[in-house]
Amino acid sequence: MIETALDLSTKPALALRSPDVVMRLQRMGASFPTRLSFLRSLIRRLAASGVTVHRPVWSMDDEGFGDAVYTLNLAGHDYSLVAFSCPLPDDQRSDRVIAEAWDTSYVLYDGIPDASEIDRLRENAPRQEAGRFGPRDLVLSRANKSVRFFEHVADSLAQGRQPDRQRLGEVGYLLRTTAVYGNGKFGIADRFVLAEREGLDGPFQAEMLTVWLIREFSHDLVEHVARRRAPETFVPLAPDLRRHIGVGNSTGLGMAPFLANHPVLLNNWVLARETALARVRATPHLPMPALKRLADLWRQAALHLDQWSVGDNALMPRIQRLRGEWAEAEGWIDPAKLLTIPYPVATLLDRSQSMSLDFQELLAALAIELAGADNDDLADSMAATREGALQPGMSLASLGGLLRDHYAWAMAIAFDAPAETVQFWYVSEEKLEPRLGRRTAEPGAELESPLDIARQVQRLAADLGDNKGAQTVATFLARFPQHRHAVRRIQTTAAAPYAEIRDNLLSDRCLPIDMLRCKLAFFGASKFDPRSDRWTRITLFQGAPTAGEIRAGETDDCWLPVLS
Amino acid sequence: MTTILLSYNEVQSVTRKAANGAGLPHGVAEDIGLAAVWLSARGVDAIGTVVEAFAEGVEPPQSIFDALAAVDALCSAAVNVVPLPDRASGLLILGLGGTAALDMGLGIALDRGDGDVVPLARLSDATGPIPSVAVLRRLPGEDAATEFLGAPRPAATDAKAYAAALALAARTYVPASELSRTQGAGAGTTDND
Repeated sequence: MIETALDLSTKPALALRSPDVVMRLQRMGASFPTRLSFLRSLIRRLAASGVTVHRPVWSMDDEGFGDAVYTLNLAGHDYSLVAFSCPLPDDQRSDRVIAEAWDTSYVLYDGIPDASEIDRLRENAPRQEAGRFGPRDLVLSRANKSVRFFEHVADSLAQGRQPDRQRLGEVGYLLRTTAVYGNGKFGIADRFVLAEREGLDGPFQAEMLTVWLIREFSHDLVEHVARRRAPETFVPLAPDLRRHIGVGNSTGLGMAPFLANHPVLLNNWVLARETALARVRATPHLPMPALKRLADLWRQAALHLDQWSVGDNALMPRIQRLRGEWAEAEGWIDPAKLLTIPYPVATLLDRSQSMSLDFQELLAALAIELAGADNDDLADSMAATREGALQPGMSLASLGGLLRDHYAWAMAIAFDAPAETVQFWYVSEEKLEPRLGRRTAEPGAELESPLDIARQVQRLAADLGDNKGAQTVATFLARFPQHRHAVRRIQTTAAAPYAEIRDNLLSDRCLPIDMLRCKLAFFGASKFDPRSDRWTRITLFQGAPTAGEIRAGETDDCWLPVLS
Repeated sequence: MTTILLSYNEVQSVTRKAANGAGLPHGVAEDIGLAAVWLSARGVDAIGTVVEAFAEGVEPPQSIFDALAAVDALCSAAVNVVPLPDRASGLLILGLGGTAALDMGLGIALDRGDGDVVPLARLSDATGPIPSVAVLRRLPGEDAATEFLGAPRPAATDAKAYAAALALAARTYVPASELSRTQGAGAGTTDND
């Protein structure tokens, strides 16, 4: 096993990549999932706990409409996915937040619900944002069918044959979630309820558990429909195909401001990943088993790239270039050469600087995968109980020093150029969701959301320069309360170097899809399929163990799924 | 009085947005949201308190700036005591002080002026009356680990206050336009593939 093949103990300080390199939108938009991604953490937890998934309720009609409950016990706590499946006219099937009805809806419930609780959830879960929830409701979600593929799979199984492999590989899911709400939304349990609870501590673990169980539900649902359609000829999904059917997700702008609004959390995610990369980079030698593993992962990535095609005119050329670069660079990992080279991973990473950002980030993700479980300890540091606190006693001289040290990127932006402020973020009255508008073409710029971090820092710097009296942050903010947000962020960044996206989020160059991809890669998403520069579909848990396989732990396809 | 039960996240986000809607800068609004969570974990209808504190007829409400400046001065040791004026502002100062004590591990106490001095780290109920002589006071010693983190769910919220807070928050929302509907989210409206 690779876990014993690498010696990651290093004496010198780890060389982490600079935030000026890592925290740029374009590079964030080239993120790939890693072993530290949240769905991977969940799979390891579920496997280590030896969970068994039960299905105490399955009340479905022939068309697959009805209720289901899945339960499991994790670290001494029972959790249940309560699922509802309803008929939905085609003209109401939308992945956008403006939708008001969905094919399926879900609540992750704290415990095992009795009939009255299921009745309560049946009244509310299908209504989603219009419903009302309570402290035992941990996560709220909904999903729409991938209509044509669901029908293809149901029809195939009913006729006694497996679905088309190529089509399955291209779509990859039967259901596509369009929202997975946690942390107190619409009255559900607050995040801190789970933060101290063994099993679901760590970022987005309850949400990931919900999605993993939705995936199980999707497999059971399509088999149920097929079986009822033709019980004599029905066959179940073949295990390898079942494993390759993940859960889709459709994600829009609502997710983008999250990264800017949670700087400490973002720092903790990136710091863990960068620390893992630095550890692998510092590996003095790779023995032959590790080199063999490296070659296997390289081939897996190549196959994954071959199976990843999108209609997006911006991403598809990047994937094509990446395929070419990946094939071109395969000679780099020749074991005969790497065996003799000191610090071989560092050599590969340095060499990758001549390639595209996509290549560099895929190689970084591969390097982390190569180290196996040696970096798993870092997953425990990725949560954040609080965002940064203001330090009112700090001297202004210290604050100015932090600004100079950590915000040169912000001070370098020329905000007098119209292109640097052409966009503005706002919250839509219609659905209370973040939106992005063009300043000169749309109303509402006077109500823009405070994602203009760099501009705020520049304005703070100007007033700091003009200030002649105040000695501390407290006295300065008494005079300039409008700078409280920027001051807090600067003080936070001093201890959290990866807290800031080091780009101008108002600029014409700002593409929200880059933020979406970064966050979704930390979730563990793959097969990014942008529908615009602010909207993407992805696949979660494709290739990951199913409920029947979870005790065996991670599969080889957990990092980047491939259908062989 | 009709009340509603919210999550802490809802209390925080509604008060933060209401503060923005009342004309307060974002950084100030963030602290109002955190103070509301602290208060609602100690039995106080924090949304009602915030709405009442905003109702001074001037926007942005100067009393909020004054309250934050006073707590900042206390936390930076520029002063040793902060008076608690009327009940709404006094509660808000208490919430701001409690949050600062929690975040910075500072020893800050509620001194009711009758010999009863309760460290905020141990205060589990903030619903009692605040005498006119009450103050927040820095305690000797640097750190004070919080011993009471709060009730599992926030105190109930007066429905009228909640509606008032939502109305303030709504001032920050941009009405939908045809352009925002078609381009703002960057997606289509049907997904029947």
